[in-house]
Amino acid sequence: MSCGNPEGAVEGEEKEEVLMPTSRPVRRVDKAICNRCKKAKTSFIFRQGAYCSPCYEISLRSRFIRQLHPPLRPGAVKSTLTLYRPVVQSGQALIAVSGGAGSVAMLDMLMSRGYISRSDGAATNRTKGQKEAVWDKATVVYVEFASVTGRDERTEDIRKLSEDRGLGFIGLKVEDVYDAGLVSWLGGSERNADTSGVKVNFQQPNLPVSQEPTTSNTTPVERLQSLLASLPPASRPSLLSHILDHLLTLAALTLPNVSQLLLGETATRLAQRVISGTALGRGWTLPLELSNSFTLPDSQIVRMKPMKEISVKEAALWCRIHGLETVNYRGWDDVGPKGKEGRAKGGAASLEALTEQFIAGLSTTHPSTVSTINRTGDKLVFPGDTSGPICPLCEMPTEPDAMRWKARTALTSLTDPHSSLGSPTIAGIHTGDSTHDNFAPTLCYACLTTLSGGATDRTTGDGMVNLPPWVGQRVSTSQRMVAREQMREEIADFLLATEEE
Amino acid sequence: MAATVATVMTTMNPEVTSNGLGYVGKTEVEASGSSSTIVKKEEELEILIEFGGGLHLLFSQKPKHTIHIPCQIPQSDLPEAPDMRYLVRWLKENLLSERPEMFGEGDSVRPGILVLINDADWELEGELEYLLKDGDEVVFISTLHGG
Ligand SMILES: [Zn+2]
Ligand SMILES: [Zn+2]
Repeated sequence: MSCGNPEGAVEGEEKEEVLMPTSRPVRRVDKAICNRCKKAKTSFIFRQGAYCSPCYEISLRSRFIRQLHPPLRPGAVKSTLTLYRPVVQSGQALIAVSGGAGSVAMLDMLMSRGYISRSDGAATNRTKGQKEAVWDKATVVYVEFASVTGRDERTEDIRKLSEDRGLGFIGLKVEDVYDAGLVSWLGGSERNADTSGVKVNFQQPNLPVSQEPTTSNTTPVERLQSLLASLPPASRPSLLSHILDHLLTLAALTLPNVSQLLLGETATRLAQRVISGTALGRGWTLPLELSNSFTLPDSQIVRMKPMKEISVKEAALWCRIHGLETVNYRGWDDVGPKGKEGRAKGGAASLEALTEQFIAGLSTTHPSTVSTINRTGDKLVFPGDTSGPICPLCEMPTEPDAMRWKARTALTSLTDPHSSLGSPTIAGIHTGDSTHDNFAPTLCYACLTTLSGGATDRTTGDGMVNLPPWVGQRVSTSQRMVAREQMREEIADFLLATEEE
Repeated sequence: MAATVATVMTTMNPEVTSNGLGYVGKTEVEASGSSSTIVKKEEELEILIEFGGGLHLLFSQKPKHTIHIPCQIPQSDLPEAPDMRYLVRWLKENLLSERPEMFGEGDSVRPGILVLINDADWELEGELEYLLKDGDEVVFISTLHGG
């Protein structure tokens, strides 16, 4: 065709680069030949090298297996981990699929390599070298956020994706956290069905909660929307992420015989978690959140993140090569009514969205940004023990010292002027008012920050907002722990005095 | 602006036949700039555009588009072939239906949007400097979460 590139285009390109240096210098790699097989023409670039399509897939698969196998073969010799397949697991795999590139690529890699037997009895495609399945059964769990994001529902897409592969499917909705019948719907027996009426008062800094009978006829969606609306826009992604964690954990604990919960969190998302988690004050439990082998509380179920060495870009390419449709954008930063608060450049309200932009921007000029951040994240070790007090909202251990510190600093303004001791009123124990428990002292530092600024101008009427039932349940448990902390705090002076004498 | 150029085209070019996609090459008679009266012969490039990762929501909810752009950047003193920089601008001006900040940044795409030219990473093709050819397939995939 006559309409080709004009002569001298290459010259022009070089000249332009010298005269007008862009902010994104083009990386110079040998783009002609694959860095791995040294034969084929390259298609993709990641980290410092360029690869052909088959070599790219081999690299991705080996990094996937490197993370997938160890938690399934605890105690195995490291060098054999990737060579031999783990034995058939006793329980089923619960695979969390959001419809984004990470989880869709994870599902595809598990199925295409025969890690899971098809429950519909269809023969697995046993090609040469195909090994025994690791799970006899697997279920996909998807949580629909359309009611709060206003985006298109994807439940049916994910159901089809799962059922086409012979997998079970559980479709949850984010507002199900307010549904008292959720546990029995999932096949479990409800332990506490009377907690649907726990409300929190955002107009007071100690966030008093009260048990109220469910007189209102608001729907679960309306209750969730009013909770979101009462929080500052910057806090909403954190809340939604705790709700997602809770629903996935609940499904894993409730569905029959689950042995592993698999999440498709990519290296890119984990790097964002390291940075935003640190900035949000979530550093103490960060190692637990990053772990590829975290045992869910009071269970034997292991939560895994086998995509943790694969970037979201690589996962997106995998989906593209295999013709898998994905929607990566979830838009939690845009949920709920717009606040008066300003938004940063790029329109971000939350630290989560800002961090995503920051890392994506850095990665264009510094391709090893994500792996460098994750190398640091991998070195973190959780210093506490997981049997201590649990934060009612994020359901992660709370730092004991932070709790005491918070009791002294954040709540001293609440000192009861009529109290001769002048001690802070913690968890309602000094007020003599047993019907009003306080939410604030039970929260971890990060969650207290998330919920603070649930400002008066956002809540309507009495300022009381329905808490998700699981939070209400946990508050009462945490009260006792806080009360114990408080007592130790008060007698500490006496103990020290006796020692000194 | 580019869309105007595309619609002004009048004369069929007998040398160019259909490429099987229903597209027939055209020529255009147009004065290029006020200072010049040279009659310039122009044609179009057919480019296949695909949006993935949810990016199609910004482009009239349509994942696939076939577009025609002039094979020389209009209103330019130099006979320049359109490059990716031109294409990104063209998409912003002609195809983007909402929230431009979600797609473009500066004269490029927003970081976190993956670009493939004929199924190869655009970083291998010179990114914005890549000169488009007729029939090229350009894929934009957003990997962004948005919070
Ligand atoms: Zn190769
Ligand atoms: Zn917490």
